[in-house]
Amino acid sequence: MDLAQFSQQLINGISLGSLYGIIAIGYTMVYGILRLINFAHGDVMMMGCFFAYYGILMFSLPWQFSFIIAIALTAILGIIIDRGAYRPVRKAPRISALITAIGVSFLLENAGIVVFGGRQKAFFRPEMFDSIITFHGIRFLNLAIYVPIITLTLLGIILLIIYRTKVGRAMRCISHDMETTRLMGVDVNRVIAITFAMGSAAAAAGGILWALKYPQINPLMGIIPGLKAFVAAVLGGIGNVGGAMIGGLILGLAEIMLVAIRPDLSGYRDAIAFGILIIILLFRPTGLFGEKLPE
Amino acid sequence: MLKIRDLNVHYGGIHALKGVTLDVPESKIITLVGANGAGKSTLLRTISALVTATSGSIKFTGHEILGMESHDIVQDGIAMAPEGRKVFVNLSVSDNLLMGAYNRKNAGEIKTDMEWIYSIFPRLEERMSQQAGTLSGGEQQMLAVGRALMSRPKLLMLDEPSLGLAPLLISEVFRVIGQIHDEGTTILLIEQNAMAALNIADYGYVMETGKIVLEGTGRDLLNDERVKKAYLGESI
Ligand SMILES: Nc1ncnc2c1ncn2[C@@H]1O[C@H](COP(=O)(O)OP(=O)(O)OP(=O)(O)O)[C@@H](O)[C@H]1O
Ligand SMILES: [Mg+2]
Repeated sequence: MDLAQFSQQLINGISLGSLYGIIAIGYTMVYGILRLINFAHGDVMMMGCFFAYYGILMFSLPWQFSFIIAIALTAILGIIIDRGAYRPVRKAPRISALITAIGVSFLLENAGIVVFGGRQKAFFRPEMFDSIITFHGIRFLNLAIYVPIITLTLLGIILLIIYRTKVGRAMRCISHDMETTRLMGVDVNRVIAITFAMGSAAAAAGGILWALKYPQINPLMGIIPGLKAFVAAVLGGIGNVGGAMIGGLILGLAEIMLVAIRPDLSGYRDAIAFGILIIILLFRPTGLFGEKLPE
Repeated sequence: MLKIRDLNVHYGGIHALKGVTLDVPESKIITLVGANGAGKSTLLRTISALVTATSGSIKFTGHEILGMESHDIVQDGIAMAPEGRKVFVNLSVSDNLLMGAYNRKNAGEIKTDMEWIYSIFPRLEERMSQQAGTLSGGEQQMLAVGRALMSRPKLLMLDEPSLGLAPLLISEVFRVIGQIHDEGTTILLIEQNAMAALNIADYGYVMETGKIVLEGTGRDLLNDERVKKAYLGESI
């Protein structure tokens, strides 16, 4: 592999990895606060894509508006899922919430098939993201540059909210000790709702970028990116927002590089994520940047 | 100010509070003493709605607060420094204090109150940007009390503030409780250190296995033979 090829794969890897990362943030935020793996998160991402799709197709909105409205609707969907599915089992044993999450996931996937139809739909790629850049023998879609810029900007905004605002401080307190946070006068359910909204909005943004990159959408499209993002979150240390992005980048680069170096192994691409997951769970369950878990 | 009537609490099959009746009049220090497992923390946690009561009534400034949510109770004017301090170890000292003022909007007042807390606990001021987890046990206790005060409560509930502290620090904690009371806050104090608690309190209750078994002024209880035998003998 020469330098040009390497650079090309690097760009592809970063672009893919930052998508895993932005989706992983939703997993890690919800886990940090509720100790819940929100298995429906990948499906929430899928819903974001469909909201954007129908915004353009049915309501003929300009794509910018459609994307922003889709992100907002997905944030609301996240709040509704928390309110309707997770809050009722908040005090039940953790396994109940986990099973509920799997139920929500199936519900979204199957409702998606009924409402949107199971067939692939072509996602609209605006011209802005559709030009090929050639540079010293490297060729790539300019989208590959936009993706990391957009995702890192979103990460920055999310980190600002978590570390520089009052509600963010409450999130950090809840993740450390929910009961004592209540004693501070914090409406914990409200903060949890905001957490779901933020994670779901990030997933929608990630999903839309995903759909721009692979412009075919269907109701089951969230499953694989969702699983990969989950691995990225575990790799980065679940509960750690910056770690989720780094985990995503590592995973994306590992996948792209494996295929670049050994094209004959490209069929095993999806296996990398699960190999990483197994290794991490065996040797370092708290991930690369995870804090030592209490208890 | 706080009127608890015939309060019952169950943890599954355990009957933790068995018809507790207790009053905290305005601007007094009331103490509740009792052995391990008597149900003292359960009472405070029920007032703060961390635990749900099975029956009974808790009235605060005239209205029922049983059934309200924890954050609304804080808003109403009841704050607690919980057993075991429970400071947010990953936050700085000043951020811990800000958490105590979560529902307050007026930044100027919050700042004034932080200065007030720092004047009560000068050690906290020296360590304001340090992570709370790096504080000593005594300093964490001061932070827990200061944090509870930051909501400007009408009623401050303290769950064993002297727990695990060296004797010198214990007297410091009791001095501060006196000072906070003098500045106008009503206090409900839970202690195993019955001697010190009854000394400072206007009125005291003794709890055993979920029931109030004795009550009286601090002085009366200090002189009561049963109290002396059960609680004072071991704590001196
Ligand atoms: N979450 C819980 N689940 C089940 N039982 C509990 C729970 N919390 C307390 N208990 C039980 O309720 C009883 C009263 O406990 P509580 O913590 O109120 O006692 P306490 O008077 O505060 O004791 P200490 O002085 O040791 O703090 C004990 O028998 C305890 O085992
Ligand atoms: Mg206790």
